[in-house]
Amino acid sequence: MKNPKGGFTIIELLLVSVLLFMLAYSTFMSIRSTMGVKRSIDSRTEILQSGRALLELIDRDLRMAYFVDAADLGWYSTPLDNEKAGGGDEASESDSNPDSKAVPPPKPIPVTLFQATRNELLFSSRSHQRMSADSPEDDQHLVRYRVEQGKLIREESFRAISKDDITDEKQFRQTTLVDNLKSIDFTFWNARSQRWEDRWDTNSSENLDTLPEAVKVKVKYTPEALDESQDATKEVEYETAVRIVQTIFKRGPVKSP
Amino acid sequence: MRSSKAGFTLLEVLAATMIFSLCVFAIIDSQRTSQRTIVQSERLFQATNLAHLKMTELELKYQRELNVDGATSLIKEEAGAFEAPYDSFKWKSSVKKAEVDLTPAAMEKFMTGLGLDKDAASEEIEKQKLVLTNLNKMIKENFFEVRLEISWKDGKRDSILPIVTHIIPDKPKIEITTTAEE
Repeated sequence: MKNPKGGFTIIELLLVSVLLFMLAYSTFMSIRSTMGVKRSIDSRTEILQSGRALLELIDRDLRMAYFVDAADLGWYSTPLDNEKAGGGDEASESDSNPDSKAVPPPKPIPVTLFQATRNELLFSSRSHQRMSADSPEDDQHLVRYRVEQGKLIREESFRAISKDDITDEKQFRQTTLVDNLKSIDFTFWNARSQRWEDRWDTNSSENLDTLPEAVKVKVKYTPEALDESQDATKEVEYETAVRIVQTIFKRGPVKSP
Repeated sequence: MRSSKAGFTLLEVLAATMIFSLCVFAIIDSQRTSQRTIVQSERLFQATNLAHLKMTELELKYQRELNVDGATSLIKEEAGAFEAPYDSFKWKSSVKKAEVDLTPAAMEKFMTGLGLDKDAASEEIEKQKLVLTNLNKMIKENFFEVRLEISWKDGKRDSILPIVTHIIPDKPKIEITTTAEE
């Protein structure tokens, strides 16, 4: 290959450009696959993170579930107590002059309960956090987990509310926890019968005024996909159990079988 | 190494290829490492959930046994595997008496460790001897340590997640002695 002008031949140029193209192509492909791997790792991290957050939330709410039974009612004043306390002079005074004193409206009696089925929970908990100072909120509140149109929804009241307000939507703040819920399954440990129950109601005669000792949670859902890659839309399943702390301190007498 | 046409020598080409392949390998390896890490953290998360689950079951069971049958049958070891889809996880539990060293010597070490003068510490311990004796006795008779290990395979490695809790009977045995132990 002789070239009088000392430049490149066409063959040489072709060869070089083909080589260059191959090099560029392989670099491009490797960068693209790296980006793909990064995306899939990101989305898996995100899925894991959201699963952890979900279980943590349920865990926290249930762990701090509380129940106030009749014996504890002295903790706050009830209208009945006011009446009794003011039975002496004040009562006669207000009788003689009913308009002189504006009677403050009675503080609503917070309702404590634990009503639950396999896919719905409604219970009183101490897990509420006040996010701003001096807000009229309370650490005691009602929490409800429910399923609506394939979504897992959590509702919490800003404070402990009375029985009449349970149906009032304004008392609750609503958050959607999972969009594509496949199933959620709660089971409740009954210390008396020593088995896992499907439902729990602190108003029913069976579990009157007692909390379950533990709650098992099994949740299956399809996480929200960050991108269209395959593993992002795979279904996940988590299972855990929570012990309700109050029951450890408030255990009734144990009977031998 | 002389070349009339001023090209690359074989050695140079080899070195260049080596460096290039090392770079490529490093990139691919870092991808593999991060993928492995995410798989590991997924497993660890599952193991934590299963540990919660199993520990709750064991606590409820052992609490019952402790209340009904007493302490004698409680000290034991158990093991098993989880059901599908968690069949890659195994568990092992053991119950033993909780051990807390409240002897005068240990307490003195503890208190001087907090920055207390040695004489002052031993004087204080001498005063509290009876309390310490009774406390020690109470813990020994009533506290049980439940240890649970979840194990699974991470590639070739075995991973273990241990958690520990304590249980006491609903009606703890409390007998106060009036003689302090040495």
